[in-house]
Amino acid sequence: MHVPDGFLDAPTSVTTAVVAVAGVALALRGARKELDDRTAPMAGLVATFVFATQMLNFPVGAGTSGHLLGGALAAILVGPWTGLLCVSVVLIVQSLLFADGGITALGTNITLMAIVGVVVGWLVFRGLQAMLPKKVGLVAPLAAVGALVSVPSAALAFVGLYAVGGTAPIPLETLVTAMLGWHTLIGIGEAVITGLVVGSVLSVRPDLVYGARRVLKARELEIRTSEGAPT
Amino acid sequence: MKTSMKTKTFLIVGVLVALLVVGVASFYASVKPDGLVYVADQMGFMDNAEKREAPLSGGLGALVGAVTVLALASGLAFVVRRRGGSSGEGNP
Repeated sequence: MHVPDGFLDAPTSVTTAVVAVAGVALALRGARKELDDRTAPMAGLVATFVFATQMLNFPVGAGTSGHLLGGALAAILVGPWTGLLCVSVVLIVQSLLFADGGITALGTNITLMAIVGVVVGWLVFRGLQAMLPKKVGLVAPLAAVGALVSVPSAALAFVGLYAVGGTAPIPLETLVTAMLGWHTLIGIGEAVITGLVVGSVLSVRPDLVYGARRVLKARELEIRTSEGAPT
Repeated sequence: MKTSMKTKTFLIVGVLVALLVVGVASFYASVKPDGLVYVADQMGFMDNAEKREAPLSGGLGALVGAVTVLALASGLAFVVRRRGGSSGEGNP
């Protein structure tokens, strides 16, 4: 979903650049609270993994493909603020070294994939986690649902930007349908990859999954209370 | 408690898996246009995209990119953490 230079006009690109800078600045503050002995070493790994997996385009229907955006995955593994920073680093490197995504469109890409991807993925995950039983087994499936929703959300955000500052006149209704249709399919791929990766990390080191902390804590307390209870 | 993988081992295995994905991607990734490019093609606004030369490309370039991302993100996490003055875990 890397937006090249030229799709959006200058005022829109400037606006998304401001949004991106503000988002990253907030994330730099927020990440201070998230980064500890567990998340700090994970940040580099998560960014590298998102970079690698974004290259692995999978076929979607006839003639098109999709790749992981990684916002939900990063947020659930290292926390939303740190996740936003990880995906931003990936997008900056892709734009500058691989011409994947434009330079003037860098703010747009950070806004769509790092900010919208992380925020939607994380909020859906956390919202469901708050409503459902605190079970470790639910962390990976809920991560997958967050990932699934995050991709069409980012696609919809692109349509919104295009409606305001698109450089070619396009019937918006057709654009919405096409973008949402393809990106819902791509979202399924995003969900599968996110679920599998979160599940794999959970199976070896559940304590390294930021999004599992609440349920692990709840489980620990339960065990402690049942052990400590006088019989 | 069951024995769990050491953090160092986990991180090394994780980075190796990521590099393996880079390798696999450079051979097997779909070369079809992604969702956005496909839609832009179909709707006729792909012509507005400005093409740029990429400084890096190919499998080796991707490996260099992966190592760059690893260094930048690790460095950033290190700096942010140090400036935040947080230590240990379970910060409020």
